[in-house]
Amino acid sequence: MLTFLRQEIFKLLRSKLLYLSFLMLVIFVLLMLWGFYTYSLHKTGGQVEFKYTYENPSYFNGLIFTLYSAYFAFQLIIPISVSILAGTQIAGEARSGTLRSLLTRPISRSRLYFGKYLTSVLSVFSLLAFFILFNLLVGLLLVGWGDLSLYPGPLNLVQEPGRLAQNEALLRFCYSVFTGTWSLLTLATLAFLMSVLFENPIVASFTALTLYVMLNVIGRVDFFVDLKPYLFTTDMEFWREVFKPEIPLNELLYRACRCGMYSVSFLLAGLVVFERKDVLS
Amino acid sequence: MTQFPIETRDLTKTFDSRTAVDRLSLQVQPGDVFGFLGQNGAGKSTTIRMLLGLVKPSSGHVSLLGHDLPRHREQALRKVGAIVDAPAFYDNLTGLENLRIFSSLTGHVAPHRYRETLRWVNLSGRENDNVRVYSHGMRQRLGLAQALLPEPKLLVLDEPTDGLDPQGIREIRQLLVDLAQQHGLTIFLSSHLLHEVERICNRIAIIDQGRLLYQGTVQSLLEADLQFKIRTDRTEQAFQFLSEGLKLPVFKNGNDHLYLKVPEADIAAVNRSLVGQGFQVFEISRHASSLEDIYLRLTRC
Repeated sequence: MLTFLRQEIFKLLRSKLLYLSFLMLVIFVLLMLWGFYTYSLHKTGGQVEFKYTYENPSYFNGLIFTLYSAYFAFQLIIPISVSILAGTQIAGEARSGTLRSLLTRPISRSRLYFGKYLTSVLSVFSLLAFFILFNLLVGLLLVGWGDLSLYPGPLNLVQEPGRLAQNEALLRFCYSVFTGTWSLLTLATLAFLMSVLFENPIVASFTALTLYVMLNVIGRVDFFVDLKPYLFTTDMEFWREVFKPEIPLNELLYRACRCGMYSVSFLLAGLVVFERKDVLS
Repeated sequence: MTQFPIETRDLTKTFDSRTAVDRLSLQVQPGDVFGFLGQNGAGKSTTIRMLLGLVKPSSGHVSLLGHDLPRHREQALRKVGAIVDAPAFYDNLTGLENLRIFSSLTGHVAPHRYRETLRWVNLSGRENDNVRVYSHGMRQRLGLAQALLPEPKLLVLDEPTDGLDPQGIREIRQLLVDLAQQHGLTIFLSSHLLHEVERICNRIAIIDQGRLLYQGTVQSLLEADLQFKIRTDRTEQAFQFLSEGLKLPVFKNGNDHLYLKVPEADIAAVNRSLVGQGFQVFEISRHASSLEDIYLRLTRC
């Protein structure tokens, strides 16, 4: 299994897709930086100052920038990358014909399946870790760090204003890499399942992403308020709970478990299909 | 009891309502270079995929090197090298990197084995090029290299010379013959190049619409179809004598020749009978059909 995993990571590191995903995130962060700067200028009537130093006591500092950037990236840009990375895992091999070459070697289908899934997990984690770290770095260098002030607003995190001290906030960003990865694994596993069902990687990724967007939209429309608790996209939002001044541990664990349950269900469904699948590509 | 490198019993595969392979029973013996022939859509690829565990049979039994499939698929494939359809590789990686990826799934491969195998398939010096720049023929050779790397006892090759130039076909043919003769490999190959199959295979199977039409040695198939061309001074009378007098399977082709289908051992007696009846026999010669002729007749092309 380790040998197979090593080879899969080697293939991943040599694929353009991974670097394209990273590049897409970098472009997004730079765009966010421009947006954040103009927004803060507008909000403060031109008073805001981005400091190229460690300290920036303003609300508009590097940590709030990272939080906003992560929040917006989670809406679509990261799910797109995750869907593509996981959706191409098996469908991509089927499309290029290498799946049949792999399966003529003495490796069990389940070993191949889980090896590829672990590669997806690693790529989601590395993508997210890179994204958060890159944001923090950009925040530190170009905006300046300070405490993380939280206000009721678009982030929908707190009911009343709160504050996380800078070091505590940095710790929370570390937590968010793990909660974010766990949350995104639900989508990654769905895309992985689609990757087994379809032999075209574009169709697999696109189907998973469409489902994600559709359920996300449904979850925000009042008509479907009764349906909302049953949508996996609702539970996926738990990753942000780590930014509340008091982390609601029970709520966080409950929703993390539900996400885990969805992931396991998708994973097992994919395994059953893959074990029975006729490789005709 | 003989352990067949490949044995199938009543192997059947149905896709929806279409039967792709219908109760196919094959026996490939150790050391065979076994040709698997059939038209496009006859069920060759589906059979090969079932042999390698890529497609699940609807019913029937498959055994590879004595291991039942799909139950002992991993053990069975440990000593099998295969090419299914056109060899597929990771285009963004080099030939050598591709070989390392595929061979790592079989177990440890000694470094000298890579060099040796690349030399066999005439790819030495090109192993560090990206597969993207490989020609079709080079990809075919690399496919053969990946099949040979794990030192297999059985090679399953789907159209191994497809896309190769005449020189390449000749080299691969010689390589396959050497592997069978010097290394004792059993080779199961499908091909459309019937004259190639006739030259390198000792046994063949012909399938049509998923059903087995013939299985046996190439020699016995050719001999079963062996005819003798006879020219006498009176063709019509000789025809009547052979068909009605001796009750032999004889037919005319034009006005000058008769074609007689009898075992080679009987032809001297036929000659004596004709001479005894006062016929002047000018010519008796072997008229052997080619494998292609027989194949086309069997598959009704």
